[in-house]
Amino acid sequence: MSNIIAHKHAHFFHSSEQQANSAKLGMWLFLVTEVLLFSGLFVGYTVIKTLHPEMWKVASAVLDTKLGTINTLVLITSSWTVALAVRAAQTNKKGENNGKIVGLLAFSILCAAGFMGIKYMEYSHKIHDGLLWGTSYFNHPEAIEHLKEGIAKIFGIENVALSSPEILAQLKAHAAAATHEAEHLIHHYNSTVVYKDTLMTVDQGHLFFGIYFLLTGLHGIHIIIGGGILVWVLLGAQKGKYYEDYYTPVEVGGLYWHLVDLIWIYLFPLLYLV
Amino acid sequence: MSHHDTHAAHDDHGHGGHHITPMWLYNAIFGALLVLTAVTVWIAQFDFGSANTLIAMFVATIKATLVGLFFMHLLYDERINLLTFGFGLLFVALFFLFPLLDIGTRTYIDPIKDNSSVYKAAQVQKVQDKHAETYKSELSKLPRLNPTGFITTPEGEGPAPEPAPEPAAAGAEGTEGASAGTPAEPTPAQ
Repeated sequence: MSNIIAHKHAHFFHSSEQQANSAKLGMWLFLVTEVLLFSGLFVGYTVIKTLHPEMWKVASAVLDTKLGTINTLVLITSSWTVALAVRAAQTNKKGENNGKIVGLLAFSILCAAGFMGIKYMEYSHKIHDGLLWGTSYFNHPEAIEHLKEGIAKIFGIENVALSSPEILAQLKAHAAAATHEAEHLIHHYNSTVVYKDTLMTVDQGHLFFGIYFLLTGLHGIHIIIGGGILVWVLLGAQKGKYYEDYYTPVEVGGLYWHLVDLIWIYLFPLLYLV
Repeated sequence: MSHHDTHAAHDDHGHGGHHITPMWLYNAIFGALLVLTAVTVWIAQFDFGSANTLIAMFVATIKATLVGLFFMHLLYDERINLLTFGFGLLFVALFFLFPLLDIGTRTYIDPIKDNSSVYKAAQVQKVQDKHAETYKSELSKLPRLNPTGFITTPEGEGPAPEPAPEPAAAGAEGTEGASAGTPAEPTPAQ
């Protein structure tokens, strides 16, 4: 007895193949809207980069190319295993490939989780350093004013110089009785001192990080959704739903995952390399 | 199943009439993607100026094409899928074209050197503004007739052309036209 659940095509389709092709065409139409959604941000990237070339060069150098490269490899590998999972479903005759599909999808899902884990490391580092958008940017005039006011209020140091390490030592000494707020201020002061020689020299650095977070954030949301879709497909494959005559969810879910990979293929060099 | 009969003869087609990509091809594409990733990271060390982005995009496009054609099966699928995606990319290109035309053609205009039409128009505007200014100030110096017929000079008055209301003419405000010639006769308000 075979380990598959036979699929019957909907009555308004002529055949399973017609249904599968329709589903795929629908997915491709959806993928086009996804590409257009991202292209808005890519155009924003192009405009801001062209208008602020010097700022861009300095700000993008802050990104960790090693982590970006690892994430690229993770995504490419998961794309490969998803493609193999689709192939395993295409050649699944009597359920003998069910375990293979599940294994390949599970590995891909792990890759998705790994990608988000590395992303989390990158994001938390940037949030900690104040490398953020708009007025949250550490070098934004408002943020600096806020920092100076806070230091005056908590440590009693008026008009603190943002470049002197002695002040930092002084702040740290003050923070012996560290309140949470004082420690927070020291963190921010620290990042301002750290980036004094690079990011402090260029204006509008927050624009780079705005684009960075929008592009990678939207892409990250897609990774999470794509991972969820793969989990759903995996659960179906476990039951033996997908075999040579019916594997639309595997293929269509795979298409989504490949698109996420496709977008990262462009994001990675654009943000981390050039 | 009719499609089964039509495609069963082909060796490289599965039961459902779908093309099954051979394993070695998937693996080869995966290898190519890894190599191209290494290439794009390696080549980024060198500075080719404005060509940096173009080179990176060239490599990325090769990678994306491999993923699209083989992992996403566009090469073997119904042509309509490729066509759909292609049209999508066409509109992306259109979307890029106009912002690029804008920011790519913005240059600093040297008003003297370029002797541009913008500069000329600004000069004309300046002269016109100056004339308008002179006209205004000269106009304000002219003596004016007030509604009661007395000639007043603008000195000591506000900018408004109306005469300072005098107690005798206070009642004439509502009927300026009729009472202009008869300043002595106060007309009762209607």
